[in-house]
Amino acid sequence: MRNVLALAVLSTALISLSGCSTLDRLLKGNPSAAIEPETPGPLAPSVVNNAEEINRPADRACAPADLTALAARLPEASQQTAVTQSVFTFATDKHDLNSEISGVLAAHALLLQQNQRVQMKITGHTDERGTADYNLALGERRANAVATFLAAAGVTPTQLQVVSYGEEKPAALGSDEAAWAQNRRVELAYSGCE
Amino acid sequence: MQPFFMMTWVPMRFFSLSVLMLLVTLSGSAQAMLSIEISKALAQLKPLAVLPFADEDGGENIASIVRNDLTRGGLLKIVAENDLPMGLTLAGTIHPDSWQALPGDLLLRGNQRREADGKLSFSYELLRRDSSAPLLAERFTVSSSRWRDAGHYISDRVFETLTGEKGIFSTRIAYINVYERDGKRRYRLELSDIDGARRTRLLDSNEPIMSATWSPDGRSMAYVSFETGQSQIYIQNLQTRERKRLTNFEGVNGAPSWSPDGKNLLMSLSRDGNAEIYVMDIATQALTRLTNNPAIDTEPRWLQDGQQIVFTSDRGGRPQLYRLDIASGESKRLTFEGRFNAKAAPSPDGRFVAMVHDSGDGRYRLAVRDLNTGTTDILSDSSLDDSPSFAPDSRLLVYGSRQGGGRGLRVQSIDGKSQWRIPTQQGEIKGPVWSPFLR
Repeated sequence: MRNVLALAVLSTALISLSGCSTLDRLLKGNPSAAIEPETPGPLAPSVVNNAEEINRPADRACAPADLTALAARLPEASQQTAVTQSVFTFATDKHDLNSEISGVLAAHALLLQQNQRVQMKITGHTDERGTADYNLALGERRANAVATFLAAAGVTPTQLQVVSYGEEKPAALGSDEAAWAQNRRVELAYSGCE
Repeated sequence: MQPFFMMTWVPMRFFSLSVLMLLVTLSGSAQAMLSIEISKALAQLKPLAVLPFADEDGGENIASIVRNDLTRGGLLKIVAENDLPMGLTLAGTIHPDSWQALPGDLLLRGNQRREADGKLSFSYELLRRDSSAPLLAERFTVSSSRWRDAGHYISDRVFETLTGEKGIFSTRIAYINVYERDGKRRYRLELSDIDGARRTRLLDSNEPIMSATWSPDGRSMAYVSFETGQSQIYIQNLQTRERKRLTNFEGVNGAPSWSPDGKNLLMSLSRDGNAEIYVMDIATQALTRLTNNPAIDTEPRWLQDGQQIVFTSDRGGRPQLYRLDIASGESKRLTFEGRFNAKAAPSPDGRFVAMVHDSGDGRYRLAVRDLNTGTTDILSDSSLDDSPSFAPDSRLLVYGSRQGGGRGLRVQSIDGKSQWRIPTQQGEIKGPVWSPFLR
């Protein structure tokens, strides 16, 4: 009720603020200039796609059939392993290789030694917990553990490329232990079979 | 003493006598105490009513932006829109009785008009009960695309007039947006206003983008992009969009951080075998190595003095924060509480370091360490927080956090009183960084 009364009083005093002389006296500086030049303009974002890299024959991923052909000279027990087992998972914040991983890596080492023109990309990954930059370094630690093992097994280091993606490329989406366990991993990918 | 005081703290004239006494006897080190006193004094004031601007254009009313900004800013009490007297547009002299209709002692009123050339003109004044002269009055004209900027500008001016602190409403937040297109993950570097509105895209890639960081002048960003198939550090100008790659080393090239003078970039590189901290002179690209340790050393951030850095290292077995003096090369462990402390974010005033903290329960939460007292407070009740970053006022923080099914951003003040979310529009948003003052 009080509000309604005040409204009546106030509405009689409605004149445009722009005519107010106090304003002119108080104005200083140039607010318009302060507002105008800031914030990025309406330019389109830079778009980057690394398709060119992927399309170089040496970088192209090996087809399963080509890989099977390359593995033909491996001992029979190792053939299937080298072709099919290319993902290894790790415990939280760990990068050590257990005996199972070592066994599989030995088959890959043999394949690389027998096929010197073939390249292997070793990518290290983590789960989403913790911080992105620490995880980037942790992913590299995992990938390096694999690269070091392969080099020690006699693989020419120039055949190996190590990349860490940290938490940026999860294999499984979701925020539970099942997804995290799949994401703490190293992946191997052959290229240059053609 | 008196003239200096008047210039710096004009608004304090309105506060209690005890605050005045405190100010007169103040030394520089009593700054923290002062800001507490100011908050108390403001709390005693009745709230600020932001009236809808008299609108001769019929467009969206700018008062809603100002009201939202000032409510979020935390220090001021703002009358909720629903509690404003209905249909009231104030102009001209206010009769003393008219204040009775308002639930506060402070009033912001204004006018917006579209000019013949399409530009928008604004005028506004900040009034106080029992004071005939406005505390603040301005008029300006901007192009219509700057409508939100005008609102944030008014918020900044009002906030500074009433609190003596520079407002952060015209600053921006940068973050990474991970989204899907044609079934494939894509990555964008985006900027938005601090309320999440007005998104601008800086970079769009089919490979990850991470670790964005602002140059101290707010004109450029540094970030990590995997567009070549490896993590590499780039800098990009926000106006021209011109990009430059700064690194081309084997291994991890990550975690860039600009020096306070804008000339150098801290980074973590594994070119010599494992992740170490380096500083690069941006002009010459000359590198100096700062750490030498078989552990992971990453996430370096300059402390405000430019003489020391703080970084994450697991040299003690688990990731913890360390402080390094650049001149002597000596490192000292900074955090001892909890199992995990990483991604340090120093406050611009040098007093606080925010971090991601796991006290041992497996939850990664936002925590803030007060460097003066050595105490650490956990500020969130979440479990997957990431990437804290201080606003230039050293009071508000933005960080990545789990929201519903995805990752979004949260903003909160270190006193916990002010908080809001920047929701996900498409995919996930993470890795936020708050800009410096942009003017």
